[in-house]
Amino acid sequence: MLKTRMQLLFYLSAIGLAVFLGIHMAVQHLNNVLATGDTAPTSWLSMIGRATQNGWVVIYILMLVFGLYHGLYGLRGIIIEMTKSDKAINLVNRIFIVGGIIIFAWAAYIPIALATR
Amino acid sequence: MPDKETSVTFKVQRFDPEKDKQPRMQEFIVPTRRGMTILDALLYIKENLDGTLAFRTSCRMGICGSCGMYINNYPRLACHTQIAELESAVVTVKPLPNSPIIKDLAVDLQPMFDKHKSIKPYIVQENKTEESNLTHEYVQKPEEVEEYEQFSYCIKCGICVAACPTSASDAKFLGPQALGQAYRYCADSRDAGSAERLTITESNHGAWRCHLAGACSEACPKGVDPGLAIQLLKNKMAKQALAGPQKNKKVAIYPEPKEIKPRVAVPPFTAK
Amino acid sequence: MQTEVKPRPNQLGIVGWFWGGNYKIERYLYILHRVTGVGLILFAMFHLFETTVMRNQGESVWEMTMRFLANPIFEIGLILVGFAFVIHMLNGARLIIQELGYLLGRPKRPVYPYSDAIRRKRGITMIFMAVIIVLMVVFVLNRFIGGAV
Repeated sequence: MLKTRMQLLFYLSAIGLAVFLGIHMAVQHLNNVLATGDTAPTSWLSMIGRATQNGWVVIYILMLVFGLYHGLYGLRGIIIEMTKSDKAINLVNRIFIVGGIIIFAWAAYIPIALATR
Repeated sequence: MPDKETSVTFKVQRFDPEKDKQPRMQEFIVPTRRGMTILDALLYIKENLDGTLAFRTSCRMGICGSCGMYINNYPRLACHTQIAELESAVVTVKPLPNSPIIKDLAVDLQPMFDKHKSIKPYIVQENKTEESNLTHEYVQKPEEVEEYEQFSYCIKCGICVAACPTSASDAKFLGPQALGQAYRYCADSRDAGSAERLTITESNHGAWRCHLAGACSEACPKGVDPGLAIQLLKNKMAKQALAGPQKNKKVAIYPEPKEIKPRVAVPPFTAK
Repeated sequence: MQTEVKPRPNQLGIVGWFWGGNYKIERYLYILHRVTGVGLILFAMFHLFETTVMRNQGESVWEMTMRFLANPIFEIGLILVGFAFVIHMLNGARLIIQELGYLLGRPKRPVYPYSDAIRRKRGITMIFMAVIIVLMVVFVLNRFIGGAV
């Protein structure tokens, strides 16, 4: 039942994403409605302020894990529905696994590097 | 709305694989009467206007599942659809989408039947000899029957497959018909085949390719609700993935008769 | 000699995701979910480029990127991304719950006129849609109360 377990992980990653993106939305995109006091959340100072806090680094990396898994698994599902050949599906699986790991490694390195700089 | 005095224009998709490269639309004017169905109109066309029109029909009362067609942009049974209910002066009739066209309105449902067979659409017994040679009568409570009864009304007409957006692009997708029937058997308290059936339905083109568009259930002419069956099937799959194969409760066996009462004798033949 | 005539493929294809007939709302939420999902993936890739490659080059490049993005096209784009996120999240929540067999009710004997579980529970779909619209309004409101999105 590997595919069912992967699908359940797909759902779990969606819940994780909803939580962390909810935090992200509240801080950066609902700052005026929620009166968070940060009027320019995209400025370098505001951004680097968050980037140097360990809590935010953890949130960013978890968001990356959940986002990459949910996004790539979802996209794989769409591609499967357009593909008849099992060989092509296996190729897509491999490309997505390798691509996902490379993107994760690069995109997880940056917040860690910024926090420890 | 057409009444007994009016006639309706039928735009029927024609395709003869031996002559045509592309399907084409042909118009027929059909005089209508009260209660007339699309199937009646097609029969009128075949008998009076163009005898070469091909379509499949048999019972003409919504039981055999032969006359599924795409009528005014919606998959329906031609015998179960009255012209009046469409409230339209022009009726377009096309073959069901997502199934290959044999000729005109007749589609090839073989791929659907093959998928149906692949999910083991029968009661699987733990004891294989019992499967082919029943020795007992199995007792089911009404609530156990309710678990699958709705889904057992499927007539395999292919309308749900025509409505399904995943079947539109994925020819290998098991489809609402087969997946719905997979649940019908998994939910049957007499069945012991859930574990093997659920590994079939979790394939790349299995139940997780359903995304709850609900069109199959909406269009089903028998109220079978394959959409609900598939979601309940996914629930079973999730439970099996997390907690291992789930067995149905042991179904009661009807007790062996202790004594056989002799048949009441046939009354003696009195008429001379 | 007779030649074998093969049935003509009649699949709607990808077009069938977008339009397959006169169906109710859920058939079209299917494609909305898919389009918003793909949109969010594209945005996420763009956003990752911005927050890794550009951010890694220091304050001046970051501020330059922010200035480049501060124009109506990207702001409208960001509002659309926000809408896509809200739709995908709330509709996704509905899908997760219902795809696992919950909030759909139990099977019923098919008695004419037939109803199906999704239509019987359309109220739930509509509640999710209402929350989506409220969150969209709040998201746009944030733009007009303050300044920067």
